[in-house]
Amino acid sequence: MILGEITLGHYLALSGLLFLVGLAGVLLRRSLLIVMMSLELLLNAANLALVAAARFKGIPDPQVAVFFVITVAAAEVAVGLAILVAIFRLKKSTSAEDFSSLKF
Amino acid sequence: MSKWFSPEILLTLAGVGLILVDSLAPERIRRRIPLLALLSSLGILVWSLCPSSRVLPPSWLHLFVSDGLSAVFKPFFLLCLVVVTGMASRYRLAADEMVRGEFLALPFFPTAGLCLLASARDFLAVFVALELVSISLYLLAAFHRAKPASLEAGIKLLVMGGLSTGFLVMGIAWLYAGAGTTEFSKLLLFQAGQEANPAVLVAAGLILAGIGFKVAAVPFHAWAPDVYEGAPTPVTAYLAVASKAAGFILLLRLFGIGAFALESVGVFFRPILLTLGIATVTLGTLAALPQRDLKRLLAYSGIAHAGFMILALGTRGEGGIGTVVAYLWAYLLASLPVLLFINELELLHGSTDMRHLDGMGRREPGPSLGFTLCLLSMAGLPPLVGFPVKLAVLANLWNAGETPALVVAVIMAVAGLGIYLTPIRVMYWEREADAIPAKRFPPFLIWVMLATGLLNVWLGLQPQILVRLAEKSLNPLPATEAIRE
Repeated sequence: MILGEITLGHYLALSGLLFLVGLAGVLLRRSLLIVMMSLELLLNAANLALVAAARFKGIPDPQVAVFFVITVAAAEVAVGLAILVAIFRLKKSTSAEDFSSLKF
Repeated sequence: MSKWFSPEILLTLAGVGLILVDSLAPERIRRRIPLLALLSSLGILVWSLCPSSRVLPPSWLHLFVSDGLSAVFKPFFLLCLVVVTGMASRYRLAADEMVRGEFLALPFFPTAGLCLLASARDFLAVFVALELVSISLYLLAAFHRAKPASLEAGIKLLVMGGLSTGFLVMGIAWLYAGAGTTEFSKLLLFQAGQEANPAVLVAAGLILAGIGFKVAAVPFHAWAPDVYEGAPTPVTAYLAVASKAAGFILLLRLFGIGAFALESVGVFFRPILLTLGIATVTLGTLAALPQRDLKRLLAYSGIAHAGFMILALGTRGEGGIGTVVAYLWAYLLASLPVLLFINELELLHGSTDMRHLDGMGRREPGPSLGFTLCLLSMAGLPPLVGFPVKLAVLANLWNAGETPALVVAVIMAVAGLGIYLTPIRVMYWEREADAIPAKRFPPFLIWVMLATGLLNVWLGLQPQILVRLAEKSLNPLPATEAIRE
């Protein structure tokens, strides 16, 4: 095997990479739907790290934390999509570029 | 018996009850919802001042603690709720359209979250409590659905809040990976007397970024002015005072007295906090100076105030913690009346632009005087309450020997006078606009503004009251144990 044994470090690196992808998506993408998907990716990156920590540390607590995170993410999406629908009704668009009425 | 009626439980019950009344009760009762909301929030505030309300149910004790900090901050959040409920009951969506019941019921839920946060002693509890606050606030910020700015505020708050959650959860994951626990006291034991664990350092950095969004510290501040301006004014007040204080409670618990304050970790983070503080104070002050919209001006001034508090936290020792507690109370006492005034101004004129203040000093002498006193208190002029707390921040920096930070803080404290003197100048020295509105402020505003203005003066002359509050917040003895013994 080239990589040798898979360790906690590998999982953390992968989750860090996913986190960066999500962060880039939030900061760079214009479509609000994709921004919200990227937010989900951020939370899922954290979930991966939590599960890996549970496995390698032999403690069950992080797995419980994952359930909390999933539940909260679902609530956040529900509210987010509701706001998005309201925005779409008003502006017929969900692109961040159409939201610049508040500027310095 | 009383242990089942902690403020959190009562707040949740009251919120659910108000929603039920709003959807089920006949019209005759539904019109009384503002009164019901105001009375129940006042009742919970009074109850939270009784010592027996601080006893937590035994099954909560591994996640929550009832200590000095929570005893000082639960009334803080409940006072915010009372004022915000009062503002919300006056708020109108259109000229004659009253807000619906949810707008008055919804603020109870983030307040429950904030009270839980004030006594959380485990990151899992912190996470759930913070999300309860954030998700309710997304809804509240976007509540004015016919107004594009309000929806924009909601979605901006959602994206930034989601980002902050992401950082926080990632930090929690790294804490598990490094220390195997997220309980504050166990973290302290894990980290005590050894070199800083690299995973714990990464976790602390991620968590600091997550909190940075909440308190609107540079470089995580960009959402604040837009959201404050777009959101309905009662929600702006909630965001500016209660939600900001939530971030500072976490900073106090972690970087003030908790595991991240230990020398091995603190040696990395004190310079970071000082740098963040300098950047936040500078940007907040300089960006606030040219603002013409009052809510936007308050957003930047809030960023500057957050910077002062972060600077106080960046100094070593317990002095910084007490200073932040006193500063937050002084900030609450000065900025809530200012926002109340702005809410009434918006009701009269339909916007919060500074030009509506033209000649206000002659037209409405009473409210204008109170508004001026509160603004001067925010500016930190003696003899108002903003002065001793700002002085305490500077004294902390002086004692810690942080000369560059001290110099920047002094310059910005002086430059900050300009922020608050501009609206005062407009009120008293600017000529009145051609069209003077026929409508006047309601009579209650005169008394409320004068009373709070005088309260700011009185507390400024009696700073020992704030000192006593700060000492009380440092009392680490869990009140639960104390009462049980």
